[in-house]
Amino acid sequence: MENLGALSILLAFPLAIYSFLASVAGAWKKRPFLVKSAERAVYAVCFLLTLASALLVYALLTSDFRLAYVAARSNRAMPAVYKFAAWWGGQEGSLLLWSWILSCYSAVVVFTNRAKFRKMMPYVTATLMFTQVFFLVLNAFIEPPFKVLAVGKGITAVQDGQGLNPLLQYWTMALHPPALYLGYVGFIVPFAFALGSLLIKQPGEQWIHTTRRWSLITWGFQSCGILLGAGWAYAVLGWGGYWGWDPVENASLLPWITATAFLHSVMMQEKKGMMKVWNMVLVSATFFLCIFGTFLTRSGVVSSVHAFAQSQLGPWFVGFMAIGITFTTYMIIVRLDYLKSEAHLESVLSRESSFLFNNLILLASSFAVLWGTLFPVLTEWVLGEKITVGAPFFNKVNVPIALFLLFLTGVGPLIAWRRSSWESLKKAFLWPVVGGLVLSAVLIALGVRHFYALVSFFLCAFVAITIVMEFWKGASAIAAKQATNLLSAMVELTHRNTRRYGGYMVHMGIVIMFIGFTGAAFNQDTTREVKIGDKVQLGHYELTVKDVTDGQNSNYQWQRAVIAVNKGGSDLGVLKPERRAYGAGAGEMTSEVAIRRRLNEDLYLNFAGMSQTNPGHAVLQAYIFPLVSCIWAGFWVLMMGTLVCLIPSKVRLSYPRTQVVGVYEKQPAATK
Amino acid sequence: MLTGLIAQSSVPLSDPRVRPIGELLKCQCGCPYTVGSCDMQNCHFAEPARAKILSLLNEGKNEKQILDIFVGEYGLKILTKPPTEGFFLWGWVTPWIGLGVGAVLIWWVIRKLREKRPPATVETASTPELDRYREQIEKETQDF
Repeated sequence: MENLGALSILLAFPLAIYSFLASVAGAWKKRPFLVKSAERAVYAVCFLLTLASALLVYALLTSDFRLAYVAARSNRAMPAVYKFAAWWGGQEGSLLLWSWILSCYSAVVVFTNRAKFRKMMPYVTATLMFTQVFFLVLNAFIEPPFKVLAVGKGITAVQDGQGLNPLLQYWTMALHPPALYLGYVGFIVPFAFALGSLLIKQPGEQWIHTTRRWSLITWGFQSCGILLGAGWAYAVLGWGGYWGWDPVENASLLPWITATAFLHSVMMQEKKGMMKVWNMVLVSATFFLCIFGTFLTRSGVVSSVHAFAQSQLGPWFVGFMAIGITFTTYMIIVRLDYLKSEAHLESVLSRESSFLFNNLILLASSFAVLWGTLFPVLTEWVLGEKITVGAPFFNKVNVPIALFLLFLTGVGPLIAWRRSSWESLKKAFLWPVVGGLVLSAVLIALGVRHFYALVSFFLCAFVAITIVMEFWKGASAIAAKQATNLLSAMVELTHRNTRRYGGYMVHMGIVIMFIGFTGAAFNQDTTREVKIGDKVQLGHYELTVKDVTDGQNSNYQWQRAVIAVNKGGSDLGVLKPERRAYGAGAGEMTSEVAIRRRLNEDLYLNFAGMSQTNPGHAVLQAYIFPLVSCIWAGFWVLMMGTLVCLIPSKVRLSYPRTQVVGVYEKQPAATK
Repeated sequence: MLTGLIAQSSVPLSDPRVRPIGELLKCQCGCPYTVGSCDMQNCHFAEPARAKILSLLNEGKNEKQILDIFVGEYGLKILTKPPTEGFFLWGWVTPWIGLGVGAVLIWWVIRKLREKRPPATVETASTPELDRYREQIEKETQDF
């Protein structure tokens, strides 16, 4: 079985090389049969990698400990779902997942475009397969997943494996990596089409129209992956943090930010034929940041708890990125004439300008995160001294930037395309500003003095009201015209322009998430050593320790505190935080926190273990996290908005747009 | 053995005076937490560090003095953020410089985009073609 798996990968490698070369040669020499055969090779690569992946998963599920990967990442006691998740629990398996997803995406792209874009497709295939070759080099020669445990000349199996890291044995962690990979890998498709359009000197926006859905879906997967990771950290790490500004977390955020900027700026190109170079830069930056993120996680350049074990992968990634970035930059430069803007900016006070500012702020935030992530490396290189750049730095730099971005989220959609007048802006912003000020006044009256929290709540109210007003205005016009109720009118309005109103829903999701982030300014916590019968007061909660029990199953041993929760005299039931020691973790303890989730606040209990200094006492950490549930609620709204954007609009909008009549060239000076 | 490990879990930080200072120091045990938040069992770093902070506080040392003592012992890597002096200042100001440079670039792009460009290939277009395009421009402008 392991031979078949290894052979599949080894066969996929030359096939991917062939597909790349045949695509380029077929396009260059205008030989359709070569292009066709290259496309068939894409299917073959996909089949072989599916086979290899299936064999690895089978080995994990059947606990085939002859394989080194299975022995290192799985054990017999693990539930089947985590045995399956062990596929991406280690370096070799996760790289195979990367390769497999890429091959599936490539096959889907080739299949869905088999009768379209015949001039561009060979270059798209070549870009996809060049990347595939890179990952297959890693799969086949650097980090092969089918290595067997050899003792002497024979092949033997260990009795039981080491098991998956206990911290990863949590349901969101079973979904977080694949979701993130689907997002990371997926951005190669818009990039491949962008590069293809550069190579064939296509002056229009065909590549953007073609890849709009890909970009949105992959952005959705990235968002999903990031939020699942945040949800995991919140529920597993025992201190209620959902974002620690760890280098690997940052690496996942960077392409998401540039992808967000890209999704906004493509609208300028679609509607006005502007920012063509910028869009090329953004889509390329997003793709290479995805690769950079994978590099950071696996190379050991920065220290992170999320990183895989140090390996020899670093130089390979650097080489791939150097080739890719150099070639892409060269192509953008030599095709600048085809990327000239078709329209001019009529007014600084226009939607077009707001998109420019939106991009500036998004890019500034991306740069700040990248800079903070790499600054320790730079410092070590320059001064020879290692430093830490942690949450205090990132919060200080990024909070003001994020708040300004939130402000633009409210302002942008209210400014008209082409030009706006101050009068119309005053009219549009009156109620949102009033709403924001009223909320701020109420909060100040209630005793809130945290500056950033006040600014954030003001902006949340401001943006939320602008969005509600947009829905209200459109829906009431439809309701009046069609004599229908407001809800049906709202559905009709959204269906007429799914992209616009889906986008507003995404913005609303972001606003709700910001409310959740802002809640962190009001967190409360206490840590106590308690014995059975003791009471702990935190905020308006009274916690009573009822019992401490222990037990075990085949996977782990546990010790559980039973805590009765009381609020204002009413009994809210019991919470049972646990402390676990997994057989797999070589004694590593994990927390299974107990959370009482409500939209206004979470009560979060962590049983940190038994006291060493105070025998018979349990250590209880209790937290109140106001509004934290808004983060997860906002995420669902964001996902819903993304899905709405993917639905075709009922009314196909055509925008007044200058038709391209030729590529602008400098005219020779007129001679008299 | 595992039961033993559970029973011997460490005492996390419970002194409210220690915690704010602990939050400014990075735990060196390999975990992602601070000295103030690492609750790993018998952590070889966080527990003695917390005890040391408590004892320094009891000696009357203030936050800065305590941080200086830790930096002297473990180097700057112990701090959760870079100092705001010397080369490290670049860490703090560069994102804002980047934002400023970006703003200048945007200003330049806006100026560039506001310039009306000369029409494309006017001199080579024949009169009937030109008329057709003029009509189209006229029609599109009216539609708009």
